Amino acid sequence: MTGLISAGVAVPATRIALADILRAWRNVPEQVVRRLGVGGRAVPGPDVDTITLAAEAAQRALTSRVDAVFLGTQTNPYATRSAAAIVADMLGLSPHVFVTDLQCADKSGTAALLSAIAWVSSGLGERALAIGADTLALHAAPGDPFEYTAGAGAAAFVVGAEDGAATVVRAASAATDTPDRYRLDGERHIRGTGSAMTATGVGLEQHVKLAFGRLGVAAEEVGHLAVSQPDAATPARIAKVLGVPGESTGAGLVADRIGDAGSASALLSLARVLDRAGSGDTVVLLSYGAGASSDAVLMRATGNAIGSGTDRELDRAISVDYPTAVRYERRYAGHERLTGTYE
Amino acid sequence: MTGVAVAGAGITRHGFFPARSWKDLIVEASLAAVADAGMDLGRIDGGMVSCTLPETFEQQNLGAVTADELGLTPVPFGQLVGACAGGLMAVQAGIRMIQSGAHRCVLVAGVEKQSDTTTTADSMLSYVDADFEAAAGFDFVDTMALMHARYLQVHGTSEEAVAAFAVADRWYARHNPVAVDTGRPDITTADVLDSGWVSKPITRAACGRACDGSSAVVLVAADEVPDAPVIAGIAQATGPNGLAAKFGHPGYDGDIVRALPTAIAADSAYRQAGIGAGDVDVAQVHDCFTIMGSLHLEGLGIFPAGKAALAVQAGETALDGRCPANTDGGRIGLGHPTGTTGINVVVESVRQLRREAGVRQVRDPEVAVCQAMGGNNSTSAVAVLRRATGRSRHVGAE
Amino acid sequence: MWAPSEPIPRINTASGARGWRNRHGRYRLVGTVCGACEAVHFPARRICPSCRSADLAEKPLSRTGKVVCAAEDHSPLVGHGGRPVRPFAIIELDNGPSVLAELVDVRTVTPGQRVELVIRKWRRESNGLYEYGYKFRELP
Repeated sequence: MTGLISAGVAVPATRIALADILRAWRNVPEQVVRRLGVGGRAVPGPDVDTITLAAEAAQRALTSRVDAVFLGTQTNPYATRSAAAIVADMLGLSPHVFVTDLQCADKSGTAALLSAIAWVSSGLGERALAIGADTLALHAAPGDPFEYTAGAGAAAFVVGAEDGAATVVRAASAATDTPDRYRLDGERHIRGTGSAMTATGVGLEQHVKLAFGRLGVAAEEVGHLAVSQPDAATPARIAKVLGVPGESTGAGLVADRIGDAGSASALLSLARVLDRAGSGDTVVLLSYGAGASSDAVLMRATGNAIGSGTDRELDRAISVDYPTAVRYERRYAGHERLTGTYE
Repeated sequence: MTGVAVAGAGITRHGFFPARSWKDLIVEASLAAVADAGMDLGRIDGGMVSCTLPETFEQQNLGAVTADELGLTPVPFGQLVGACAGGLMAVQAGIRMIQSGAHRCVLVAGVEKQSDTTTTADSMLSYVDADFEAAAGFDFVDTMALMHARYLQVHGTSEEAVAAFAVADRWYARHNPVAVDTGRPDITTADVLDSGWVSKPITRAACGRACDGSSAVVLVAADEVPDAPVIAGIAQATGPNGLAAKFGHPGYDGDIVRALPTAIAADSAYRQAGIGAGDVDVAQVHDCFTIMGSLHLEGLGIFPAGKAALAVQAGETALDGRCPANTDGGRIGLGHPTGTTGINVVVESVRQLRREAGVRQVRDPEVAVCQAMGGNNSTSAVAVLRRATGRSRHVGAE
Repeated sequence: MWAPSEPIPRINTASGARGWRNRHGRYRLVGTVCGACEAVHFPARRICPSCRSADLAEKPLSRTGKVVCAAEDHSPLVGHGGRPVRPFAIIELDNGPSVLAELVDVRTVTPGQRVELVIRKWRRESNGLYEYGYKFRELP
């Protein structure tokens, strides 16, 4: 069998209240912002990027030797360099390690986890590290409604040929050409294509339904749904669409405190679930990536807490105001080369 | 005794001079030193140049370029780098040139043109540990802020006492016509403490003034100019360059609260000169920040460990104090063109021993000590100068 | 939008090699241990300053330690100005040497405080590469 053995997460400690963003822009009705259920979103510090978040999460997850690193992200600061290779070196892994980056919008993280599961199940290696990491906050245009929720974070899992905290039962996926949200080559900001694509369910709802439908699990059997959450209202919306019990989304809720963690979102949710799932609990991991695609993984919890410390990272919060967030995220135009300040 | 005397000393105004290049400055200081020695430029038969930041004007090989600018080629000229102690180390090299017998009259000049870049702190980064301290974003004000914090922590000294160094410097600078702060009104410790953090606990007014400037001395065998101040002793010592590496370093007491290279160099220089710290009548120390001035006064043994800041606050380094210090205004009041600094301290010692310092003149000094530090106490040079006792004889007379 | 088309010459543009070769120190505090006298050093050394032995072995040092003394940078260098104020400290690692490092995600800093290593960006090099390295945050 293949199981999830250990986990670690990293979330920027600095957070901004959505009310502060609203005060700056007033471009979305207050009740619409409130309906997202997000109190504050993560603000990556000026020294934080996808690679640092991935390295911190992976360091906390790493309790044993791994022979592969799969890093899923859509916000690698380098267009061509492998972030996984940099992270592997930061972790001090043997240079004989297999590494690869995976890019599949917001489901890059579950794509990495499925690759790690496949790596171990196939016998190519004994243990693999899967990381999902993103800094969407750096790619939200000022004044874009996406700015309210675009956060950052990373989650990492060690997958091995043993039960661990959860045993993998089955996986299923779905993908179609559905242009709902994207970032073009050479551009910084992620674009949305309007509510016709995002509110009608043509993307998110259809794809999670397609993937979940192939898992072969009865909706009412789902104990925990760990799901991609661009905002804190989405898990309940998906539960409703799938017909799974509403309370199954409780343990996996993370977006209420950090906003949209992109590729890390579903994995952060899973880490929080596996910190508390009981023996025999049915756990479903379900991701959605704009563009569009979904992965679904059916797992059985063993009752051994995975010890990711997700709550501790979520609780480590320092509030910043809007000007500070703009400064940290460098969402302004400045000199190409600044002048110094010391005399 | 080194057997070498300072026949002449020259210094330019310190400050920011957009229209003047480093060549303008070093030629002015060199000609002033030669004129002060009462000799012809043509007598110079060797030279050393000190500069810490030649990348600000993107020129190296300053020895040769300076010789050429002075019209002295093919006279041998070299360049010496030792961070902010480089000037005094160049003087030491000049002394060795004369002692070797190969040279009879050596020009040692320092120059800095810090205003030629927009970011002096960036240029200075090449002196902290490049791989693990500068790259992590720490410059000298940061590393010395830690020394300042550590001094307060270990000795329980007040912020006011440490700040008093800047107050004393500014009084001297007010009366020094070449100082960057010449003629500016006196300040109080409250002014120093309220001037805004640069790197807490260091405030703006507690910082040496990075600026442009040049100074030069002419060295000759002491018996050639019996009326010139002599260099009775000179020494230099090193320590670990990284700040954090000083903790637990076998050559460094295991802490950052002591200027150990200064203490080691002083011990050697005092022995050469046959003096003790109690014999010092006037001292010039490396006060690139207020805390460093006190650390070096302690390193020189003029005040006991942990007591220098209090002594400065009590007025013991003022003109009528036990040991007047930094009588030219120091790095804080005169200015800190880093490569020049180690020669500035010699220039002021000479002025004091010749009793030409005007309002700033210390009463009847016989022994002057000067010191310059480079890096985070990673190098320090100390020189002891004595007032000449011999009869007057013009240098040019053969 | 107008953009300069001429390259801007800089005399000191680092090659990728300079930062790359010391990455183990930056990422994992790889220092050296003396085979003769067991002294531990950071950064890595070639000769032991305690006994002058050249028999040194590389070793990753502890990722946790405590603050010895701290200060606060209010004039960050170019490339480090993301935050207006940067707390930093001498940190004594649990297994020996001390390092100078920035503290992140902290409100107050007091001597004796326990801290742990986090990987963060140090600065972007003039060649465009990001240089990552150790910083420290409070241990819960």
